[in-house]
Amino acid sequence: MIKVPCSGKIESIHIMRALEEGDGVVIYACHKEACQFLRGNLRAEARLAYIKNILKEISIEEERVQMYYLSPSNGVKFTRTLSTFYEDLKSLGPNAGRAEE
Amino acid sequence: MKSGSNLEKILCAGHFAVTAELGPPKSVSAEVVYKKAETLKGYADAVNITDCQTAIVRMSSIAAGSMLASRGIEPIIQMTCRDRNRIAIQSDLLGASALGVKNLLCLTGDHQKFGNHPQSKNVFDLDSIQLIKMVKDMRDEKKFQCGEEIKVEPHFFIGAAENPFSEPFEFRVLRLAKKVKAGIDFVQTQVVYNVEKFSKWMEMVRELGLHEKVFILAGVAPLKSAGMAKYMKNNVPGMDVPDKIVERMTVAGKEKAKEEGVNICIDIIDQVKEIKGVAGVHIMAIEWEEIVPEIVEKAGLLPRP
Amino acid sequence: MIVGERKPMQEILDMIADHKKIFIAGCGTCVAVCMAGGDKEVSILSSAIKMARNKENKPIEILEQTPLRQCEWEFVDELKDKIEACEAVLSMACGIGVQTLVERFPKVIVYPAVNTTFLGLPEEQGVWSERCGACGNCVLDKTGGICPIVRCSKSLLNGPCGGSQDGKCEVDPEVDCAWQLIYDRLKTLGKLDDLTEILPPKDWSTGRDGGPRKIVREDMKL
Repeated sequence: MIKVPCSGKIESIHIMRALEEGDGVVIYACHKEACQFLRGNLRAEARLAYIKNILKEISIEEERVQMYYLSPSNGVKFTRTLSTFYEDLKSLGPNAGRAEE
Repeated sequence: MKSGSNLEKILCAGHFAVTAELGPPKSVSAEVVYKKAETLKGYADAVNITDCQTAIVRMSSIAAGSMLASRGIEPIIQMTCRDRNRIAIQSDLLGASALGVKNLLCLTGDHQKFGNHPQSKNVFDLDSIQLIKMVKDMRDEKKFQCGEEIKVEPHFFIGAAENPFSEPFEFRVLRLAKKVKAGIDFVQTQVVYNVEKFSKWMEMVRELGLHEKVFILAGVAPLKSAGMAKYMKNNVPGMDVPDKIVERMTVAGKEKAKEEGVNICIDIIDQVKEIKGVAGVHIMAIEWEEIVPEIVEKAGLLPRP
Repeated sequence: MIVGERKPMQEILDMIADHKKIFIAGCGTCVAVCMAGGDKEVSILSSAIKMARNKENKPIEILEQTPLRQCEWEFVDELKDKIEACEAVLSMACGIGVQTLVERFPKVIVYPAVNTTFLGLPEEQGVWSERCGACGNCVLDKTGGICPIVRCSKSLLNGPCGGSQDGKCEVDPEVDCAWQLIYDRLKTLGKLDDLTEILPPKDWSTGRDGGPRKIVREDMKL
């Protein structure tokens, strides 16, 4: 788990590099109107859309990258969404784009 | 006489002129051209032959035009700026003149995106106004565009198209003035359905005295169906089709649509005939050339001089 | 500035299909500004290609570098080592950058990853539009500062044509009719009379039609 001061700090290349070595990436961001840096989470959302287009172009399942919005105190939603994402990744199988071990 | 063409003689004599239009085939079928031309013989003073209209490849205007000339039907050939540079245009015009063509309509040309070869390179070496001036200089100054002398020069009756209904409205009359300055002898307008707006345009034209410098032929076209009226109203750029015309066509129903379309056309001809400065009509009945004789007759325009 | 966009992924993958080690060279000037080939785009393309090739079980090794400009010898010289270490170069610069690399390193295969599209400006982040045709004989003084060569679909000098509708070009309802813009601008400047002048046929020989161009400034040569 990588902590960042704002989801807007996550760059597109970070997501790509994570996928080169893993099966999926999940991003947790503050609710849209609640960004303390005003538009950080909007940038994150735009970058996610950009990455999903690239994944489509190289035929890697775009569902391997997801973003959820929650407030810092919502541990329940955090656990629930993480479990769901894990199950989804399991059914997608290993990422064909990963480097050979 | 600038060209000695039939159209020129009729207009200079003060008669109300009638021109028609035919679209050449997308093939080498000369018979198609001859058949359409025979339909119009005696009903039009000269016949426009389009030049790859909407950028769709068709038999060349000059070829089809000279075919008409050989059968005693006077052509108005069209030349666009889209496909040919100044070298090809001047070359084609020398040839056209040698083949007996005397009337020429100078156009910009629809963008190739509309046609069946949208990937082609477009030329637009000249625009329509530069083309008009070039042809005028070939005729009156006996010079090619580069300044070189022409030993035996072509004599064209030079025409252009103008759209009284497109934007910017105030500029349309200035554009006509520019074309007159460049040297046109006659103008055919875009199809008129909105006689009121056309009348306003003519008023502005008269204010600048342009009606005395150029012969203005109002474009008319018979509608075939209410669908056609609606399509032209909503989908064709630069067309103004008033609601009451669409209504007339709708009310007529399928059975009487063509009849009503012809009636509307004749009504419009009657109205524009009365507008000061209108020297004739240009009947565009593309793919319905057979209807032209009926329109000309019922509009009281027979016999042709 | 020069504006371009990355070629479709499949086209790029097809170009480098036979190579096992490539160098992706970006450019920090125009293509970085139009988000097509700057260092961000280089790293993302590199990652995407690696994943695509892993999927095919044909892994590829990729080196990356983004010089400040790819059209000047002094900057491309910085790439020498990486170029020589690889089988081929994938350039994310404009067409000029690709050709600079080829001229400087004649034995190297260089593929273009970007389609160089036009000379234009960023209207806002993410939107670029064409402004200049590099015709070699600027007429902006005659048209209120709006280029009729490249903003008019038919390059008219005495426009508009009959296809101008509601201030838009017949070719695309999203495209402004250049001559409407020119008319409006000259009206604002009180110079509508300029439009009564007939502009003569253009001398296209100063542009691409005259053949490849070159400018030599003897007074500037060392």
